[in-house]
Amino acid sequence: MSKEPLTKKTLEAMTMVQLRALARERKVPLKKGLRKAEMIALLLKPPREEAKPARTRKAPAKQPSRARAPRAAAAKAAEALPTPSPFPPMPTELPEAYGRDTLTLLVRDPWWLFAYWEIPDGRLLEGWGQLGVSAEEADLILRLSDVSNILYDGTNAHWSADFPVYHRVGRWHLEANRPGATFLAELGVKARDGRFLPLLRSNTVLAPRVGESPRLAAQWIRRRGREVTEIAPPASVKGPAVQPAARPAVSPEALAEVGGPTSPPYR
Amino acid sequence: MALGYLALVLHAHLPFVRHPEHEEFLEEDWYYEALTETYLPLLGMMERLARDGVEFRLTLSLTPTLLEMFADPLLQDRYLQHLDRLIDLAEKETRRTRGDAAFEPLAWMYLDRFRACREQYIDRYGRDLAAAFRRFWEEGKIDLLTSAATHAFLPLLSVQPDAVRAQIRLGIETHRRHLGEAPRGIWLPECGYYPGLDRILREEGLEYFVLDMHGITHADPRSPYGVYAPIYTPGGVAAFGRDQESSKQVWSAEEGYPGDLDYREFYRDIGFDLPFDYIQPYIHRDGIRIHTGIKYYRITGKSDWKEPYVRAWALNKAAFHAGNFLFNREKQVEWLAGGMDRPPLIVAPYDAELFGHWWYEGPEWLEFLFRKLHFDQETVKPITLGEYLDAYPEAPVCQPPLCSWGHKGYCEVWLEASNDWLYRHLHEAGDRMIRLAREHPEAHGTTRRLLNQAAREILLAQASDWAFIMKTGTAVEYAVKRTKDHLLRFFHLERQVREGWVDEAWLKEVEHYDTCFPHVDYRIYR
Repeated sequence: MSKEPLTKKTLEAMTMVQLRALARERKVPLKKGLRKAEMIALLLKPPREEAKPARTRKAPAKQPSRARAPRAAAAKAAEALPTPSPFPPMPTELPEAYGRDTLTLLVRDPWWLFAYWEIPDGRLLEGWGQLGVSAEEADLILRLSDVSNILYDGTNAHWSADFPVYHRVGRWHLEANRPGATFLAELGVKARDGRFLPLLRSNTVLAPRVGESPRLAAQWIRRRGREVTEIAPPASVKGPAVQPAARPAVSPEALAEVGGPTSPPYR
Repeated sequence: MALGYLALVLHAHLPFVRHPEHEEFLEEDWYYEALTETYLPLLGMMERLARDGVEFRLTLSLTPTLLEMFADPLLQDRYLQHLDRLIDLAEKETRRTRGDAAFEPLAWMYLDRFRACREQYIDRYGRDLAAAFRRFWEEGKIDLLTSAATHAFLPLLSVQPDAVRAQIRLGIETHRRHLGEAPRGIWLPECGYYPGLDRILREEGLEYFVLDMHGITHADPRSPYGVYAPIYTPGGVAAFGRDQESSKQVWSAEEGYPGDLDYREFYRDIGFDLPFDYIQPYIHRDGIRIHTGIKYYRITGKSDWKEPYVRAWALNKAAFHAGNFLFNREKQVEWLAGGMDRPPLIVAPYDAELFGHWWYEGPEWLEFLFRKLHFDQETVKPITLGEYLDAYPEAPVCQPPLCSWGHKGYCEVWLEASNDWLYRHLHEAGDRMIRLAREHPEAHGTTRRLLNQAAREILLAQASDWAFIMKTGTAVEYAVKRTKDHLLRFFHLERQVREGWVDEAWLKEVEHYDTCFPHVDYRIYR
């Protein structure tokens, strides 16, 4: 190894053994038990530079002289190592789970919904216990139900579909194909014989309707600033007889034509 | 008296990108390019029209993050550095292309334009673009809309009304701070609407917004006017619908004007074409080739073969296309007016950055359009959204469905394989922010700083730009990094408030990095 200047990058690429060898060659004293980052910091200092003397004022005569030594040593160490913060560091990755029950439903479009969930192991164990089955004999499922215009009691949905989910923390896109309906989801355990025990219930969402409404607006208002007044619909309301391009597509494939550009470049 | 009206709406938006920790940062270029190629040229166009007595009307949304960037001193300095480097490069180019009949005029064109930008920015506007736009608003020529604070896609935050409300409140507050008055209308990010949002908009004092066509035509019950007049939602807010025909002529990749063969080709930039040694000082300092903005070729055809750009031909085309657009609008209005008991309104919204940046001749097209509207006919008049509503304040009450102007018309762009992992975290952060705001009605000192910074972080994480970039795959690493950084900072701040300690040094660092909305008050979450 030559005496060419070292860079942090090259040092980081070396093993601990190589770093110690380099330190011996350059006569850089390394204490036992130093971590790699600390070794690198020492190696990057210009050779044979003394640690700057601690900026302590001369100790007053009455102070015991041994107080100076630990101060100077600490200052020297501080020069060599980054000062460890007394506070816990910020994590570098988002957590896999947040440790609480969650089941949230979002609308993606008139035909698809999206759900994400988290359920602690404990709740699952309870669920299996209540059903009287073991984990192997039961499935974790997401039940999506059409609850338009009803008070859902667990049994009276207009329609429902069960989606098996295999992880207690997850997310999934759910095909419902019922534009205009109100939905909720339940996460629960289902025994092989069909018995279902819901453990979590989601928020309700409204999937958008598609196509022109069969009803023509009957309520009209006039708004001036913050003042809103209801008015009678004008006697002779006339709209464009046939609205150009106002027969919008109602299928998912055709709707691929709707909407602005996905992004620049638009071409 | 005009037979009908045309409301051109330009949505000017950029996510907040400011990296004081680096001397140069690639993604800051988005802002400098937009200033040079879109915002300054649009202002220049408005000056010329006003000077020539051309009556014009434009509805313009300036999003809160864009307003914050306009006002930021560091970004102002960096823009001037960027501009000076461009001027330097253009000067070199005039020397390098000397004698070349095809390229030398273009090099001079760029040099003149960059010098004009500099003069505009420093001398005419004193670096204060908000004030420049405001002057036109005061003169009644433009209507200024706000948007959600960090352009969050609201339908996917609908599970947390308080988080939606905070985005709206801070948007209005930022608009008022930079432009002097509260806005009347709002540009919903991506025209993203859901039933119930209208009530929040009404409570915050907003009067109107824009939806994609199917937001109006699929509303229940339906309006007799289709998209050619606004409706009121049950919440009492007016909604305007985008006209498909005028959109297609400009947006469409195949049929739209911007694809014309005489227009400038975006992808042949000297940043990629010229030898490395020559161009190196003007591209990214790590040697990554980037767009400089100096491009010498026209679209020519569908293949890779490109001919030199001829400015006169392109301007001719722009004038021709403006005439064509106007002709179509006249025919459209004549046809519609025959069947309506009030003058029809054609709403034509576009991203502002289309004009000048993606479509180089866009601002010239727009200027030709306004001149032709004013001098060449009487059928169609330009109008702002607010003006039309004031003139015709009566409308039917209809509830639009959840919708957006994104690809396929709903939420899929922001909720698909590349980005659906975001929402678990965004909602968790939202819940915690709301809880913090409730638990601290009157925070002071360091706690207040922690809470305000937490608000900044969650707002920045909620920007719909990140999910959009993840889907389109253009700068995914950066978008993921921004999301994670803001969420992680948020959770660390929230933890400190909850556990009652503060890492002063770390807080100072984070406050230094994320400076958007310096005046934010965390109580927007109450």
